[in-house]
This record gives sequence, C-alpha cells and structure tokens, in this order.
Amino acid sequence: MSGYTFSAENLKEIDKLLKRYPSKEALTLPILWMVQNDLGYLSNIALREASKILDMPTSHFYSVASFYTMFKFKKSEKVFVELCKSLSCELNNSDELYEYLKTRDDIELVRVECLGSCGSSPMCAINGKYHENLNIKKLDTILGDKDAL
Amino acid sequence: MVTIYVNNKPIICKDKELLIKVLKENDIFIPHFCYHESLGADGNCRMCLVEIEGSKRPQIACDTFVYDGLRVHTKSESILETNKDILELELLSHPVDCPTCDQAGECSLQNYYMEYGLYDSRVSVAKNKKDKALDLGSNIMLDQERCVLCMRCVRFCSDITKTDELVVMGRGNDSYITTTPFMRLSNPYAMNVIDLCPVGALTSKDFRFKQRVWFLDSTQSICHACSKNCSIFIDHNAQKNQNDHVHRFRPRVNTMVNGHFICDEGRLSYKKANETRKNDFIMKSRISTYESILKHTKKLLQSENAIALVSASLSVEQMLLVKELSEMYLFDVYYDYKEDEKFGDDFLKSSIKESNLYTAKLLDFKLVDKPYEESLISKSLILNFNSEFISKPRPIEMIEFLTHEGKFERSSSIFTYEYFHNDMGLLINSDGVISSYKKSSKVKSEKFTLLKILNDLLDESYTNESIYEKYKELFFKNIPYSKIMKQSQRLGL
Ligand code: SF4
Ligand code: SF4
Ligand code: FES
Ligand code: FES
Repeated sequence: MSGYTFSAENLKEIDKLLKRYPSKEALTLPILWMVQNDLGYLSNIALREASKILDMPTSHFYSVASFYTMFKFKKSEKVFVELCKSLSCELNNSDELYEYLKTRDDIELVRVECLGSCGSSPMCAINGKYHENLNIKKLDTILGDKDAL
Repeated sequence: MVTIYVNNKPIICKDKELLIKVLKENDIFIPHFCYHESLGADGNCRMCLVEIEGSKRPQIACDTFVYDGLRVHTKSESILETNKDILELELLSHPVDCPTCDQAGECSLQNYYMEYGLYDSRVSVAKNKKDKALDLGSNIMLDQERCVLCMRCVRFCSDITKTDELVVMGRGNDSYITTTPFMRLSNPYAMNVIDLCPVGALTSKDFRFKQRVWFLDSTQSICHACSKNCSIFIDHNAQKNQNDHVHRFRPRVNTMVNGHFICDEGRLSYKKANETRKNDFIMKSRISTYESILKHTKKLLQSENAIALVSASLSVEQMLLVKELSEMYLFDVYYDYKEDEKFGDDFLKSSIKESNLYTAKLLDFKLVDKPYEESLISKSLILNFNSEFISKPRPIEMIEFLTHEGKFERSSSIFTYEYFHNDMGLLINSDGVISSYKKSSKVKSEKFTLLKILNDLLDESYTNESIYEKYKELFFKNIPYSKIMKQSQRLGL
C-alpha cells in the first residue's frame, strides 16, 4: 500500500491548532476527524502518519478513537446509522426503531449518546445527517432512497 | 520530616511524599491495583481510597501528598465499606475462574476479596464476555476477562520500554487491553508485564499451568546471563522423589542494579539451571571417584607445567581460591569473554555476557591473547574452570571443573560442581556493584561446590566469608562481607 499524506490544507490547520492549545494531545480528535472525513475510516497507515506528525505513538490514536462511537476502523460501503439511545429519544420509543434497524443488513448501526436534538426525538443521524421525529415508516422511506442519503 | 497519623498511630516520613508510598513502606495494608513503585500513580482504579480527616469524601492515597499533621484512616467503618464497594465493581465481570488461574496465591484481587468481601455477587445481568486466551507475543497470554484495567502493562510499554505495543481499546465496561493493531508485544523486557499485572490477566506461556505458587520456594539470587547481575528470585521446588527443579526466575527489587525489572533472555535463562551435568567425576574418560581424581590432580599440579583458564562468570570467592591455587603451584590464570553488541542496550542488558568480568580483571587474571596460545605449546597441563572458550591444542593433560557438559568429555578429567542456583557467592557487575546470591536452605545438594573442591586441592577450609574477608582490604575497598549480604555495595569503577 502507498503512504498517506495529509493535504496541505489539513497540515496548515494542524499548525494553527498546535499554536492554539497548550498540549499536542488536544489535536488527537481534530486529526482523527481529518482522516475519517478524507477516507471514510481510520486507516492504519494514516494513523501512523498522524503519529509521526504529532510525535505520539499510534497506540494513542487507536485508544482514543475506539473510545468514541463515531470513528470507524474499517471501510464500509454501508449506510452509517447512529441511533440516539438517550433519555428523550428513549421516552419517545427509540427502542422500537432500534428493533427495526437491527433487522436491516444494508446498514451499519451504532447506538450513541444524546445528539442534542432532544426536542425532535426520536432521532438518528444517517451518514452524519440528522433525521428527526422518526417512526418506522419514515425511517423506511429515508433508507429506501439511497441516492438522497 | 513530618509526622502523620494513620489510624491514630504516628508515622514519621518525608514531607510531600506520596501517601500510598508511605503506607506501603510502613507495612500498612492499602489495597491498590494501578499504583506501582516503578510506574508511579495513575489514579484509575480507585482501590486505594482512604479517609482523610477534614475532607468530605474519601481520597485516593496514590494522589495524596503527605503534610505535617495529616490524619488518615484506612480501617474506619465507612472506608471499609467504600473499599468493599469499589472491589465489588472491579469484580462485576470477573469470571471467578481462580481454580484454573496461575495467579492464584499471588493475586491482589483474591487477597482483597478475602480481606473485604466474601460476599455473593449481587449482579444478575450477564457478565461481559471477552477473550480468555489471547496470545500477545513474547510468551505472554492475556485473559481479558480477568483484567481489572489498571493499565500497568500499558504504562510499562509506553513509559519504560517506550515501545507502545499495548493499548486499552473501547470505553467503560467494554474496555479491554490488547496489542496496538498491526503490532505484537515484542520488546526484550516484555515479560515484566506478567509480574506487574496484579491479577491473573497476564500469564507466562512458559510457566502457565505448571505449578501452584504456594508450592514454590523462592531463593534470592542473581541472574548470570550478562554482566548486569540483575537481582532475581529463583522459584524452585522438588517434587516427590525428584531432584530440585527450577520453574522460573523473577525480578527482585534492587534499586542499585536492576530496579524492578529483568530482561526476558535473563528470565528464561532459568532453563540452564535444569540442564546441569549429572553428578560425576571422570578421570581419563572413565567414571571415577572424587578422592582419586583429587589425588590425581594434586600430583599433576606438582609435577606438570600448568596453565589455567577461568570462566569470567565464576564468583568472587571462587576466583579468589583459584588465585590462591595459582600462587601455590605457580601457574598463570587466563580468562576470556564474549561481547555481544546486539544484546547490550542502555537500560539493563549489557553486551558482556560474563557475570563477573570485573573480578577477573581486578585479580589481574590475564586476558586470552596470542601469547596465551603460544605459551600453551610449552605446557603439559591445562586447568579449565568452567570456561566455554577452552580449546585443546594437542593431546595434553586436562583437568576440568564443570557445571554443564564440556567440550572434551572424552579426553579430560572432570570435577562436576554445583551451578550457581544451588550455591552462594558474590559477583561484581559491569558498573562496579558487588552483590550476593544465596543458597536455598531447602535444597539438599548432592554436588560439591567449587569452593569445597578448591579448598581440598589447597588443603584449606575457607568459607565464602573468610576468603572474601582475607582479601577485602586489598581488592574490595574494605567493605565488610556482612554488609554485602544485606545489600549490594558500590565499589566503583
Ligand atoms: S492486563 Fe493486568 S496489568 Fe494490564 S491492565 Fe489488565 S490487570 Fe492491569
Ligand atoms: S540484563 Fe543481564 S543480568 Fe539482567 S536479567 Fe538480563 S541477562 Fe540477566
Ligand atoms: S436524547 Fe436523543 S437527541 Fe437528545
Ligand atoms: S492505586 Fe490509587 S487509584 Fe489505583
């Protein structure tokens, strides 16, 4: 496999952030996002490059990334669904959505903490985009229109 | 110095010292998983909570620094309740498979459970299932279900060896230890994580399922695999009707030499202790008796023109007696050694693989060189004191003193003597530190020690102590024997 290079733009951003924060550990999340936005997942080669740039061990990036639900270590063609499991959504029957989503094998499903959209619960994010006031029928329609996702 | 009060008893200690360190040094029971003297505090396990007068909530002892008048309680009712709760949390997902766990008997979790617990599990939800036998590399197996996530192993690889092979992945109840993706645990000190792990999560493939630790005797000794002379415990025992068997070497804390650790190669060198030659005395390739070969040797020493080669791993006392013998019979003593640049590093491992080169030089033995080879031509007797560098230029009388199989089993006379694991002695390491290794009182040794054989050749009766004391002023800066018995001493370079 060939190497991974951060774009000039990202490198500039990294420089800027390095000046902003007292410790370079603070750049862990921004740099993980850069890679994931670029590749759709965190590749080992990219994390190794990140570890070189920040002079921190690769293990650190894995450890931090695996703490969160939004980072992926594998490339996936599937639609990425993050279903909220926090209180408001739960009260508005998110469990029902969960049971339904579990049956679909064309999606990658994770249950996440509150996404800050409680007023329009239950909700989920599909490929990063919020879909609110959901019910099974609505979800079904949304997931049916692959091109719109 | 300040005075603190622990359970109302005064303790005098250094100001601003870490409380947990003070408690441990004063033998006050303080449960803990993540703190370790060699790695410092991490504050992640919360097992070390204590009650401090004046603060509302319990505090962790590994993040509390002492000050004059500090009043701590480790046994009050409320703190015992707290400790018990923490322990219950630690044990939530524990598989309780102690009967098949190698750590049993030296497991903190087990000990604390006995101290606080003996309660039944109140948890009815399913326990987390994780990997029970993960091969991490370097002879190390991980049982993720037994792990209490203290991070000692991770911190060892990040802070001590700086190789970062281990990570904690995931979050909360789902966290687990594993190797960094695309990596194996592979550094020359890796097996220390087994000793660091307070529970039975990390075990040695080499030792697993072989012995229960409570059946082992531990003897304070020294690793002989390089010139660092790391302090070790030899864990051994004798099964019924069998000879004593060495099961493992473990690091023994010695701040002057190896700190808390040893290298993997040294740790695994215990195998050599089980491969010693059988107790025999051989004269001209025939089994003989000690008395006859002793007589034979004395006669040869009187009549022949001798030369001697010593292993630079002999103990100080052994070398001193060889020196006496050489002065009695007027022969030259040579030594040789290997240097393995690939083995040495700037942590513990030394590129010199002999464990007492320092003393060989100190006693003015000569390094094998051209003149040695040349002088062999005029000699009629070679004495070999366990050196592996021995060569036999032509058919010539040779007396060997060996612990292991020799190169010239068929053509020399051989005294078999006890290897270091069943003997005692002094060694000086490459930094000029002199340390002692002890002999187990439990092992009945059948073999003679080299000291005894040399004494018989000299018609003397030196003990380890008396021969050292005789020369201590001349060579060893007058450091008394008894002092070295207690603790390593620095001679200097
Ligand atoms: S494997 Fe052992 S040392 Fe490592 S985190 Fe778990 S309990 Fe601690
Ligand atoms: S560094 Fe040398 S003395 Fe220490 S354990 Fe390793 S081989 Fe033995
Ligand atoms: S609880 Fe679901 S978005 Fe806040
Ligand atoms: S030993 Fe203090 S928190 Fe773990």
